[in-house]
Amino acid sequence: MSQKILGATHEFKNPGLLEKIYPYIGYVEITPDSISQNDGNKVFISDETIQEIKNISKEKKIVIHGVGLSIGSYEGYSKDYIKLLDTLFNEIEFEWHSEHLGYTKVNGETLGTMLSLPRTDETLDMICERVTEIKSRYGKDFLLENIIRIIPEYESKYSEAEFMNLISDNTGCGFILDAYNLECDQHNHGFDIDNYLNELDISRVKEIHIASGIIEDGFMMDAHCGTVMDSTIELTKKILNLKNSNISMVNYELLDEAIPIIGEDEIKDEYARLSGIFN
Amino acid sequence: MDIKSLQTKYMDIIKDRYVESEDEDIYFKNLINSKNLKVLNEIIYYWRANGIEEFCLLTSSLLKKTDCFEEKITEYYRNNNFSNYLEEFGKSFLNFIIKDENKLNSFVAEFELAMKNVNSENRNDYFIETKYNLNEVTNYILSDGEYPCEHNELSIIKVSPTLENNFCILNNN
Repeated sequence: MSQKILGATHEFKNPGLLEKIYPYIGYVEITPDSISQNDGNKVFISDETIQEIKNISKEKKIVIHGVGLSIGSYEGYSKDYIKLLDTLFNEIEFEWHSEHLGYTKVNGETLGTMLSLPRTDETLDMICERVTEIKSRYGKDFLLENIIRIIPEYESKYSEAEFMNLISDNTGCGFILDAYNLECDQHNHGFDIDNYLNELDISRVKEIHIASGIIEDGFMMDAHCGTVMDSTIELTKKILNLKNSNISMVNYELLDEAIPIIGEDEIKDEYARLSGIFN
Repeated sequence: MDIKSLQTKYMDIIKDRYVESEDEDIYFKNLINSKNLKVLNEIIYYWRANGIEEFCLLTSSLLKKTDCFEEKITEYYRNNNFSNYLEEFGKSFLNFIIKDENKLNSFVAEFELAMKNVNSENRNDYFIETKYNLNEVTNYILSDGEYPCEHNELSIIKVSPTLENNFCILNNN
């Protein structure tokens, strides 16, 4: 049986939903930050959660996708996140891990959101050094994901694609392409997706994220709260069919908060639809 | 501009502690008044509010009822380095409201925090002294009761993991 490329993010709060979508997915994406606990002294992943991941890994491939690494913080990335990753690395088999090309903390203080980075030589050197450290630590493929740009760009030397290519050339890092995020940047800032795809070394893209969101005050946001738009599906198909495309997984991202609003059966139907398109 | 200065400036702008210099870069002058910054603050507020509503229903219901929920959430995240973990963030917010000048807000937050603590790993007992009547307070928050006033007499509420419903009123006022 060929590997299904469709994936789902699972936070272990909705086992009933996972059971419903199980037939349609080949990958389960785990977010260390979302499955961890904080007892006031330390951040950790419980033994029960580890065992649940192990059970899933008997039938599905596991990938890890974090939100708390904050690889772009000037003072350094999160040591707490690395501890969680260490636990998962020591306990479970996973295919690759990934994070976002952005930052959520400044000098240890939480921003409350994630911001994108200026594409300068200083940032390039900083990111490459950190990616190299992380790759050496785990010896596994590490991917970085494009995030949406909420505030206008400051000064950048490189284009988005050029910057990603340079990081990859210097470190061997791969990419996640978030198709909906590209559409958000196109809507909000006139970002040229075709130009970006022409310039990007597509062979380094291992995973695509698809999602939906909202438009508020004319601003398109990646809220991960709905079924996937036709435009996002078409863009994803385009990326999959590009020359040198080497994509292993398409992950449908949906926040836990959206599940009761959309409904488990409707979400199952969405996975069935996406499975028909991508698997 | 180097990355440290840029990120620090963004943080100061988000936390509303940024002081514009006379020769400030036009980029930052424009950012301060931009729709983008407004959207950014809405996103930050949304996730903090969502978390607080989930974690402390009683206190958030009171703050909403008295039209100060948004104000208190915004004040909290602008002046505190909050955790991304809901339990830690929620308890920190309740401790912030315990220090509120409004005595009703303070009492409700203290009661709710004690109830949270006895349901977690912490197995201590808590004794809360208040001039409010707890029944009047919950009636106001959860039903259509009148805004409760402080009584002359003190009431003592014991919050304990060993009690039925985890609390009892030792001497009602």
